[in-house]
Amino acid sequence: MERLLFLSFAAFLFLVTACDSSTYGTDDDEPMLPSFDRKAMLEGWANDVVIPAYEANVITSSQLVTSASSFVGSPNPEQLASLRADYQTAYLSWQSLSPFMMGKAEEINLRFRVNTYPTNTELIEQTIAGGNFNLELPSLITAQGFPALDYLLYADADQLLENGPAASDRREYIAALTVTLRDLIATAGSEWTPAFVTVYTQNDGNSATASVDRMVNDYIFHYEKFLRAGKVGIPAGVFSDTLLADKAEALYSGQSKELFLASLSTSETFFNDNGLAEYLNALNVIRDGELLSAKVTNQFAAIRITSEIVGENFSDQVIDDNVQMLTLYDEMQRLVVLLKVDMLQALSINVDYVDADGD
Amino acid sequence: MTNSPTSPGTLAVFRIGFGLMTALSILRFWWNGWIEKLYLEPTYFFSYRYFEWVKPLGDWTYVLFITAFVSAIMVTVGWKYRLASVLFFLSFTYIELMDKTTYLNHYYFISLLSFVLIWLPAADYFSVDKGADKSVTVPSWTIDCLKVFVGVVYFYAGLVKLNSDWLIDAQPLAIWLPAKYDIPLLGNLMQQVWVHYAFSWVGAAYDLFIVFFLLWRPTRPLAFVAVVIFHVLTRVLFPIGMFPYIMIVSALVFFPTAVHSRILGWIAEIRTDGLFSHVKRLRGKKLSKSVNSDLRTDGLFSHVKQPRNEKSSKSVNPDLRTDGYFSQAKKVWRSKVFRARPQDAKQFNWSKVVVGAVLVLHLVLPWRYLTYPGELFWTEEGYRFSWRVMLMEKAGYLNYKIIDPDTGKRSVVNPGDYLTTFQNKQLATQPDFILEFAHHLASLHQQIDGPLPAVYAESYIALNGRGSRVYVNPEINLSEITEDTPRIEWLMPFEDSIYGL
Repeated sequence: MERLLFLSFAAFLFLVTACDSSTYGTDDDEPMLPSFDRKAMLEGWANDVVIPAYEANVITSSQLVTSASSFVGSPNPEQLASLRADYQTAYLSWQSLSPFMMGKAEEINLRFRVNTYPTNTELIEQTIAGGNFNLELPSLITAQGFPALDYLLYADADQLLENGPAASDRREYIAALTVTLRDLIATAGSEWTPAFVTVYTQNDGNSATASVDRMVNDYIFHYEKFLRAGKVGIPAGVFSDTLLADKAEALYSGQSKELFLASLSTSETFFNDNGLAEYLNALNVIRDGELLSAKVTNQFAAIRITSEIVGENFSDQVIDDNVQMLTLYDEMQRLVVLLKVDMLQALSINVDYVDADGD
Repeated sequence: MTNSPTSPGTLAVFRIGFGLMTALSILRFWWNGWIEKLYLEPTYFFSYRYFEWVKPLGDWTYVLFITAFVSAIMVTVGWKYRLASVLFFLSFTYIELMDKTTYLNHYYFISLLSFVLIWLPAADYFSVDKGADKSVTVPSWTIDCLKVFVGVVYFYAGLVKLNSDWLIDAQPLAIWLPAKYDIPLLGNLMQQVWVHYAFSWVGAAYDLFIVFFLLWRPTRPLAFVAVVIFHVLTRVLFPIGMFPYIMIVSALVFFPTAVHSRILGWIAEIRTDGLFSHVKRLRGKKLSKSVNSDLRTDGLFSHVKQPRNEKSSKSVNPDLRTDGYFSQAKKVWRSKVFRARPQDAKQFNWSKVVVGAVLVLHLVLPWRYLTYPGELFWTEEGYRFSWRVMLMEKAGYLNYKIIDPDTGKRSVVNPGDYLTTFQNKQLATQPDFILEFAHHLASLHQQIDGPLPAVYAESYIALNGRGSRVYVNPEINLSEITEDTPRIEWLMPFEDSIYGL
């Protein structure tokens, strides 16, 4: 009897100490499922999604720097046209990288410095007129990145072709913006070395800091805040009392739908082809008689179809017929619920991990 | 539930175990930074009904935790026990009432037990207050009532598992277990569907029957091993903090006194110095001898004991201070001074009545859900305080829409802007939270803009593997709903059936 008590207490203490250290943090055992390989999914995310996105953005932003400096060298309509084309390419390319802000990218505020809109046109004019400027300053976040380029390259662009110091300051400012853009992207991308990828993929446990949890949270956060709200909901006045047409992305070039579709594609591909759908299927997640992965895939398709009713320029669309925008928003909102409620629950991923007891 | 005198060892072990575990709980809470995170950083706190006045006290909140910790230690060593147990109950319960975001069944269990312990003579033996006089007895009901308290928790937890979600669909374990893929050895097993069912059924059977196996002598040792294994497993699989340890220690109450004497013996042996040194010395004297004057050199003990010995020695001829006589005199003195003594019928009945009343509450409260309409898992009306542990996996999404009645102006509020992630998570799935916060938003709006606005919720939840559904009726103005409005009137209907309890 006594021995039994002692034994069970010993076993208890042993298990407690053994488990306390292993339930949390990462471990290098073999945590892989027989049916689903999380590590392979993470390798795919690193090697097929994030790294290619950085590579593409380094190329497009470098091209943008080149064409901007050519334009500074010879400010003529041809150079401006090619600068605009490279700007459009780079802005589109950015949509493939925007959801994946972690580590260094988060540290240097990459997303905010690259794409905070609406841009502050007054601030831009002041900054150019003031001459000396430091784009590292948080106060200049709304005077840089693609939205600032959008303004400078498309709103009253004739000024750019003029002679005189005002126009050349303007051109110099554009060049400086492109250099900052490229450097920021390159800095964040340089973090993804093979060693970093190894650490990233080995962190395949189930905890707050595990790669899967963080990546999925980032992914959903981006969809909800930047794709659904930023690109569609906010201009359509969903969160305000009035329409906010001037809060649309790419207000001056008017390519908002193109950017929206590029971003939608990134989210859609990430779910359909990069592991999450497969992961849900491996867990055999069926909701209301249908695979959850199929519901999500179908919802992406429904959003794409609905987006056909809205025009190329979301700002114009909001003013012309906001009902179409709201219809698109509602369709997008359905996907938030599927991702944030159904998928996160099925994968047992907390919406931003909460560190407390449950019962 | 008789008054027959019983050895006090069981109560002493229970007191020590309970005090130690709760003290550790509080220490752990502080160590994890949860005092700041849960009670100092949030700007809004969700209140229990009728306890809206209980709020964190800013920096004084630390004093609450210190009080709870110190009183838990006092309970453990049995120093000024009555005062300590009252202080612990009050401070701990206050802490739990500050924000219902942190509600856990086992916190309620601790509050309940600590209240009961106030009325039990748990420090009559093996304590700083009373030393280790083996001739002390306690009425057997004081031990039996603890068995009932612990037993009901298990049994009810088992009963409520008898529902179709748990037994037929293995929910929510079918969602939770596969996520434990990174647990050594067990990780792969957790992916198997049969394991989800096995855990569900064995878990229900365990909760239902373990008490009976603990009560029956032949199965008791094995049952205790099962208790340990079960709780350690739950500790490994789920983030349930100190609860497993508290339940393991509580289960010791089912053992006979002989076991507790041995446990106390071990404790005395371990403590070669310090607080318990006198106990060891007493043990050396076979515990039968009276409290000796050499105890007076024992620091804390002498401090407590001295006045009493002096007091009692006044009435006793110094020449007669032989062992037998002295201990007898002491006993007489004690029975007069301390309440809840079996000899003192009037006082004793009072504590029995109180404990009996709490016991009735303990037995009846979990059934209150029967008086509310609608599916319990959906409305959660009567879900708390009923030993429903790990029965639901609910995930939610919630936004509010506020419309000013005068201007027609509307705004969308993301509650996450006002709350911590943890609060926001609890808010999204629980109707009383949703309503309370809707009223809070309405009053905020009133303070700034005047008229009482209409507040609508846009909410979705997914329950136990069902697809997400609209939760709160989006057409209903929550400003017009009170806590007394039946929840089925403002929630969407639950379009499914869960059978069983």
